[in-house]
Amino acid sequence: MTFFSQAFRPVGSNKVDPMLVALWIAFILLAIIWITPFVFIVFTSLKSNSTVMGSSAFSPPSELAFGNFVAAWNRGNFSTTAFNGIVITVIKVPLGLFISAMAAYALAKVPMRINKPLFALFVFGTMLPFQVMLAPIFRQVNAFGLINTYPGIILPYLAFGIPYQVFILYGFFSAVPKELSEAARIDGASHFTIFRRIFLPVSLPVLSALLILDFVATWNEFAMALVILQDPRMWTLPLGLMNFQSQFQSDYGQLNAAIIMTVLPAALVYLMFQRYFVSGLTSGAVKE
Amino acid sequence: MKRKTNLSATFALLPTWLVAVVVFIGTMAWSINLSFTNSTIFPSSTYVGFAQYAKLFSSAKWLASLQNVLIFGVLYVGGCLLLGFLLAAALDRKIRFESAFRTIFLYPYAMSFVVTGLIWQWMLNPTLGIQASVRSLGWESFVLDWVVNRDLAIYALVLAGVWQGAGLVMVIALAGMRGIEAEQWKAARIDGIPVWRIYVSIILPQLGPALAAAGMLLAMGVIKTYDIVVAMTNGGPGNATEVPAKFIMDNLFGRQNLGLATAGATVLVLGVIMIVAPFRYAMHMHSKARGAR
Repeated sequence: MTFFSQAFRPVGSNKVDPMLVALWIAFILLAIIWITPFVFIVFTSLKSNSTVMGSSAFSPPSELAFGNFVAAWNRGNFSTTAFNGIVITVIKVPLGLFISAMAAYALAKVPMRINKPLFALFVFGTMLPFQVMLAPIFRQVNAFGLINTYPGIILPYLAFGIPYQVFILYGFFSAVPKELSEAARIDGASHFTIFRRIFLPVSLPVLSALLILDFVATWNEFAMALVILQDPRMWTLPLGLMNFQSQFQSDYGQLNAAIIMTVLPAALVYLMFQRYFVSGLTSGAVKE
Repeated sequence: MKRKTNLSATFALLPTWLVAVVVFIGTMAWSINLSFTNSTIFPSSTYVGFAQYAKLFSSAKWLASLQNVLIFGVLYVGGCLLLGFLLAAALDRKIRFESAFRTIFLYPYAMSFVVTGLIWQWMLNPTLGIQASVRSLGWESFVLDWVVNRDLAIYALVLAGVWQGAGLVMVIALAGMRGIEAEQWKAARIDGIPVWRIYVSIILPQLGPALAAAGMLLAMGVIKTYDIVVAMTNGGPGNATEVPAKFIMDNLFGRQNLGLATAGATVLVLGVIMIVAPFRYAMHMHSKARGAR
């Protein structure tokens, strides 16, 4: 009871605020809706197939069938898809961010006549739906013989990741005071040194926000991978999951175990670095 | 010295130039060119004028998909922004267990659209999900069959999308609210302005840029909407949840109809430019005006 009477008071106040009580109730209802799917997946992933069919979806499992995870891992070939996902993400995400950061620095801090049209082109690039380019990119990748290879998927990923990152970083770099780089410039530092020693450190919050965003997006990407990675040995996790779903449709326990294993890395990264993510993204947006 | 500067900058811009010219302009020109030909599996050089476009706009599936993406886009982006802002305002009222609530509302954003689609397909599936559970509790006439209902399937997509994206808006808006100075609050409270008015008239305008960034991030996803549809409804029932991205993918790879797919892609690009360009221009002028001040 003390728990509830505590909950309905604003922090640092002794009075029960009726507004806050109403808010709490609405809030908890919404939170229940939000958490229901999570409960559903976790419960189902721990049920044997006969229990899934026999019981309500939201009743807790009577005995924990951890075997679902092992079975799903083996049947869904998750060691292969997870490995591919890691290779692609680990190469693509830092490389793409580095290219974007260099470009954004050059656009923002090295005055050249060509900058304006190039930046306009990037703004345009952020708006383009990638399906527009899917056919020509598929043909191009095919012409280079890169279908079912890591470079074949990493190169298009790089191309589609760059515009948004350049856009955000350009805004951030433009807002860095001139004095900071000018002083170093007079001391004879090269642009690359200024970029590495001054701009990368000050933009760490934005860079980490973009890193997280890009990590989650790359890890979860589906449509492009579907087109370019056709060999099951080259599949990434979302492809493996969709295939698992269509192949073992009625094995709900294993299917949900597979979902949990697919989602876990991205969810962990995301929730762990939440704070940096938010501060980076908002600072970039505000200073744009 | 001057020459060296430009050389290193040019080098830094080289990869991005390559992307801009080869990927954006090159592929676009290729697509537009093919949309005027009768290409099927392979590109052909027989030009047929606007025949593919005529065919496109006489296709019920394409028209339905345009309508669907419009409904989905407006409700999804609007829903995420509205709910995200409300959640942030609620959390901002110094509620207890704030970090627990924040995590609950944010965790779906880490899920891919594939997973989001699969989960909600089960939740809303009449024989397995919520409907079956409620019925087994004794309410036999309970109906929640959005994914199989022709009129409601598109709203099932919206529900799943908002569930996934609202948390992102919430954390961004909350960070913005925490940045607002206590003085402003004090002044407004002394003037006797009700709390909700403070949020609408004082705080919301200040969050403009942050919310615009979040809205842009979500809107960029709308036009590409594909994964969630494939995982949740696969376009059905009927054409109820067909979307342009899926139409293009289907015609490219399933039906081997390159001409029709590129015509669809071209229309999509034109649509995006017409909707986004004025908005972008306004934002650009706005930030310029602020910079001049």
